[in-house]
Amino acid sequence: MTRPATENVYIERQDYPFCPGCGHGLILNALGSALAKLNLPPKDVAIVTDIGCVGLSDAQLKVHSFHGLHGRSVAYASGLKLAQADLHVIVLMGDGGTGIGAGHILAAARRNMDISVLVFNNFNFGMTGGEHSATTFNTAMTTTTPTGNPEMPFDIAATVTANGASFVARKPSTDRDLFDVVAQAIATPGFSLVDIWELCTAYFVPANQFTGRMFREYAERSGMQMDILTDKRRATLGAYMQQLIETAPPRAQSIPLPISFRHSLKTRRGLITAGSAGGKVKSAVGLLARAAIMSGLAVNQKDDYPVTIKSGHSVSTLILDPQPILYNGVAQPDAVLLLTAAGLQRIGAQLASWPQDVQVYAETSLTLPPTKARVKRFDSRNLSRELGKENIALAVVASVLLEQAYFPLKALKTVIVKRMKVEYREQALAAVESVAEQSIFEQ
Amino acid sequence: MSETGLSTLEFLDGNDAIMRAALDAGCTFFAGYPITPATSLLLAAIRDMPSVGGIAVQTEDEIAGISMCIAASMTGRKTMTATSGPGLSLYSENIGLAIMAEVPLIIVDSQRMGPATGGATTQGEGDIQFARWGSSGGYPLIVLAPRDLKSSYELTLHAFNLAERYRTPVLLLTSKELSLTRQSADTSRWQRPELINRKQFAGSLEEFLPYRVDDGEEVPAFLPFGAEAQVRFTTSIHGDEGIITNDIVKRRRKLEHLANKISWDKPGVSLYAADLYSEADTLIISYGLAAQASVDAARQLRGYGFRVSSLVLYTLWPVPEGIISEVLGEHKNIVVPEHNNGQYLRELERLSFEQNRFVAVQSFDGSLISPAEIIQAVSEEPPLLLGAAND
Repeated sequence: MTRPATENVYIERQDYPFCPGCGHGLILNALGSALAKLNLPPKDVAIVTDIGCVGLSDAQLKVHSFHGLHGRSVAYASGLKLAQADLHVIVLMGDGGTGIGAGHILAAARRNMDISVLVFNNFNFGMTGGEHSATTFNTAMTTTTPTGNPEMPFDIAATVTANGASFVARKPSTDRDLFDVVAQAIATPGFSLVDIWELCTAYFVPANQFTGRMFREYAERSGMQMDILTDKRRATLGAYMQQLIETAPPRAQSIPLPISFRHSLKTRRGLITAGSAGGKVKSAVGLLARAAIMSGLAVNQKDDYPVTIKSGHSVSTLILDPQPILYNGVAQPDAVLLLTAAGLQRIGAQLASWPQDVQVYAETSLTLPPTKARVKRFDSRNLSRELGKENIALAVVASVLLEQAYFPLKALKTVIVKRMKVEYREQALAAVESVAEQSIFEQ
Repeated sequence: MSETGLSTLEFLDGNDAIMRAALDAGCTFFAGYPITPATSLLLAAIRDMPSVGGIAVQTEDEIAGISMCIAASMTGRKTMTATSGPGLSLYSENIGLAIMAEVPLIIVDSQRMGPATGGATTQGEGDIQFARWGSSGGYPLIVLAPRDLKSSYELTLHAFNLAERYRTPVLLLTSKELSLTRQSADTSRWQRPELINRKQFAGSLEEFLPYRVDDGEEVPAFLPFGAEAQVRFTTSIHGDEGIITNDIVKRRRKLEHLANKISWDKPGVSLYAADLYSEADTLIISYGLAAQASVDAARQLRGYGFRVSSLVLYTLWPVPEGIISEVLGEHKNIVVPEHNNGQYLRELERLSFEQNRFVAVQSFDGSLISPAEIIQAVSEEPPLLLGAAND
């Protein structure tokens, strides 16, 4: 196979700054020939270089170049390609970069990011002094494995093959058809990687009496396949993103809350509603909050729940204020809605400190600690039976609104009609109307 | 009510306001990793970006998140990422890269209790010094801190403008309380500053050098990856060509440019709200969430007949030294409420005059500093000296 001789379209200078006998120059020449074979406009090619000797490559090139942090080259390449789909993005990274940046390579393969990765794999860190890398063969000698490498080498080609890559090959840098395989990789729509084995004449060669003839022997010994490992096609992440854009609805517009009702408050009120995860506490208080806004009040809703979301407490603190709210702490609430044992457990310790002007609405089965606060009771089993389990919180919130008369119940009903999903709306309205007809609180 | 008489009242949280501003600023790229309390920004980006022709990616980790944003920014897009303290730690190296390579980028840090994993859903504003000094080399970037929904929206727009104008990462320091608390807001009162876009290279393509700063200009003119001219980008110390260099003159010129291009007296950089009361001897200086209690306390104190001034800082870095020096010179007692162990107090003390006595009001256990605590600090006679309090 004849290599196209038009490297200079893509390669600025061939006075490479690498050691005599180093494979890096061979790979850069192959890259230049591959780009020439594909006849890509230089302005459409972006090279991303990782850290290490390979990172010196960008100064040799005539295409766009991006030299970033160690191990992150594949992440930068992914960002470039997603943001500018017309670019052919090619990563040049050493074996060191594949170790520190393994997660990014895996993710790019799984996403089928349409980028090409050329691994300049010389089995050790050349720039920092011959330390072992992720791809150093087992038992090989390096400056950090003076008695032989105890680790197994990272089979980067097999790994990305197993994780969704589109085109994967492993080639010695000395193969005359390397440029052709690199061209295949670049031409592949989707994630491609060529693991290119080469000599580090500064360290790995002298430390292991290593020669280019030993590549295939080492591959066999390490159970690694040479040449093309996979060549298949599937959708890329870029294509998926493009489809999302093409099928996206127009940007969502916020639906304002018109002031349609009047509130009765002269001063700020604080309400704490304490229940259990899954008990629709946040939603019910959120409906009350919107109704308050529609009644001309300033509102602030703070939710407290454990990171597990579906178990434990769910506590919502609501501030209603006829004036704008600056500080939004609630040292002492005016009304406390205790729905469940989990809710009581979360805020129960504060009960003892609350004076008589705090009104507590507590589920009838809850055993409250001693408190001076006034307490009214309701039976959530009745509510569950009559209105549905998912409407208990809303029923209690609506009942407290009726009791406290912050603003008309109609405001809450309006919010339910305008804001709730149709499948929940009827039941929710029925619950509110039911508690308006007959108080839920025990006399 | 808006001027048209239609209601513009909404019910939303701080992260909603930030994402709305990002879209209004023309942001079309977001990449990030889930973390409380910043996750809702990722979710909003995933939901909204396709509608504006944008891209949103949930990445494999925070490092990939900021890496993708940096690269996307160099194609000409406005980009944003969001995280909390643990993720900001992982951003550190790339923040340095974004400073070195002069990348416009918005980083939202929704702070929570630290150190380390700390309290995922617990309030904290302890990343103040970290935001400024969290990357190697110590070169400046811009850090803004909103205190409510309005400033969350407005400062996000300013953040994009500053990032574009000065080709720099801009950190937006919000916090759990502001990110996740839903509040009523009249969004028609939110100010929309005129949008600024980065200066594009307009010369002949053969003459393009990616890091050349022309005479009288603040930053290098930009061409995106994909332009007709070759674009070079590098994290290494470089000259105008964007190639690593050992030339001491080129190195010094680059680093002096980085050190000088961002300072408090550059246009648009120092953002604050000064509410100064003539002949007051007491001043409350605040930022972030503590500003809400501070403004509340100042208002109450004036109601009681006290003469109290308030300075709310929106720009934390570079320290707005002009206004701070001015107000420190005009007041004696300086009350400094912070949701950390006094991270900004040290900046104020650095600028202080002999007459200034500082009173620190601090909370770092997740509880909010209340107006009552600030009022107590103000009205204590003689004012509590910070030095005395620490003995």
